[in-house]
Amino acid sequence: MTVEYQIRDFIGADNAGGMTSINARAAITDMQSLLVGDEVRQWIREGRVFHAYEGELTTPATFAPATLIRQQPQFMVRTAAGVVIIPLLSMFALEATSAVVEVLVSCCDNDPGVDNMTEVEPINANSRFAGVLSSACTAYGTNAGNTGTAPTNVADLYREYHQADRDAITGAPTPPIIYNPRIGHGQECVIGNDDEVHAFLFYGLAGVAGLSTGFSIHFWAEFTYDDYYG
Amino acid sequence: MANVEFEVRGASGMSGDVRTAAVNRQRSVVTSDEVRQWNKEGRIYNAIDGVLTTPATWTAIDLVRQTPNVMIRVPAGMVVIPLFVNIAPEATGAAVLQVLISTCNNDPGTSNMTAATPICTNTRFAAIASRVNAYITGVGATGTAPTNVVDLFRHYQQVDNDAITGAPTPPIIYNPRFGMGQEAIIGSNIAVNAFLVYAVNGTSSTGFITFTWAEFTYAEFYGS
Repeated sequence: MTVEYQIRDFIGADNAGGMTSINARAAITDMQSLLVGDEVRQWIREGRVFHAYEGELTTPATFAPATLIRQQPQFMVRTAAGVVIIPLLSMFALEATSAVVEVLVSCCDNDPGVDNMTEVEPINANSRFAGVLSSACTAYGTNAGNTGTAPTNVADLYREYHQADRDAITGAPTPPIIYNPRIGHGQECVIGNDDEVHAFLFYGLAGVAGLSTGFSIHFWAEFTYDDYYG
Repeated sequence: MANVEFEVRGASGMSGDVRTAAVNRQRSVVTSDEVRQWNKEGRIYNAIDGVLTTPATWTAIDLVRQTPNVMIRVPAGMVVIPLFVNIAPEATGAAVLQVLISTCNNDPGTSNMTAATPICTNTRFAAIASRVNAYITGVGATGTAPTNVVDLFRHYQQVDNDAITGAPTPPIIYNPRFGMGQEAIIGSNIAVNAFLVYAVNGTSSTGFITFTWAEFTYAEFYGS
């Protein structure tokens, strides 16, 4: 008996879909092992993974707050009603620091607002779709104050606390701080609802207000609510 | 040629909706991670020891079985699988940082602990309450010695953590899916069982503990 499965391909201009109704046999190797594709790699192939960053090539972003404040994320992805995201990677590379480094990654089930933030344009992580498929979410960086509304029902997904002034470390490497739940750095989450805005919040700071600088890059997969929940 | 069909398990459980599985254009079967599916189903919860800028105080100066810093108390009829514990010390004050993560098959009690409110890590379900009990801020013995203890993870650090100024100090992470500790299943249909996290220094210290778990009814998990 030959068994067939259905091909899932890239999403459409409405950021939805993918199933093709085309049935085909699954592939095996010459040694007859069944080939299994990684789901996140497939999301990239489908054009679902987007990227945004904070700090420009040689000009780092300035981290305004001196301590963690729920309404002052350094970077934020706001999921519109009807959109669901799964954050995949946040990478935080500090340049100039002044004291204690703190990083916090969290999500909330309301709209924190966008005051004191600068909108950035997400780019598709599959270059075939870069500039063609736009993100259905809005991303923001360069926080300079409260966003307007306190996040509610917050879940903290990752946290770091470093006593050392990072840029004073000269006798050891200072690798980037990484949230990547697929490799154990943090808890994976699902963000989004069918009728309201939810958000992904990334906080990174280093001690003294306005005196720390650095770069952060962020990736997430996005789905329509209907795609995700059927 | 036969199309093999499977039943869709959605956010509400088995759906009765039968479909073929997906392959990509290279005909590799696309498989999904089970824990990601638990997130979709709203089964994963999070609790925190310490509040944003106010770390929890870790009073214990040595490991004591009845004095966990945080605990998940699993009532009869529920089952949890701990997924992730993130321990970020702030002020450690003295040498030797120890972390221990374990399970027990009895109710350790809740004396000297504070109840926390777990939040679902799927924001769609963030307002739906957990069906187990999380406790934080242990300041003394919980009341009953844990029995049939299984230790899942242990960390012993000679150096005083907050005296490290010449190198980064990443958090201590329990995450058994990635080799950082042993996965465990906690829960029974007739008794309270528990998950226990201990973080101590040579003197009273402070820090933050973020912990997550997946939860199921006993009947869902064991099919009976």
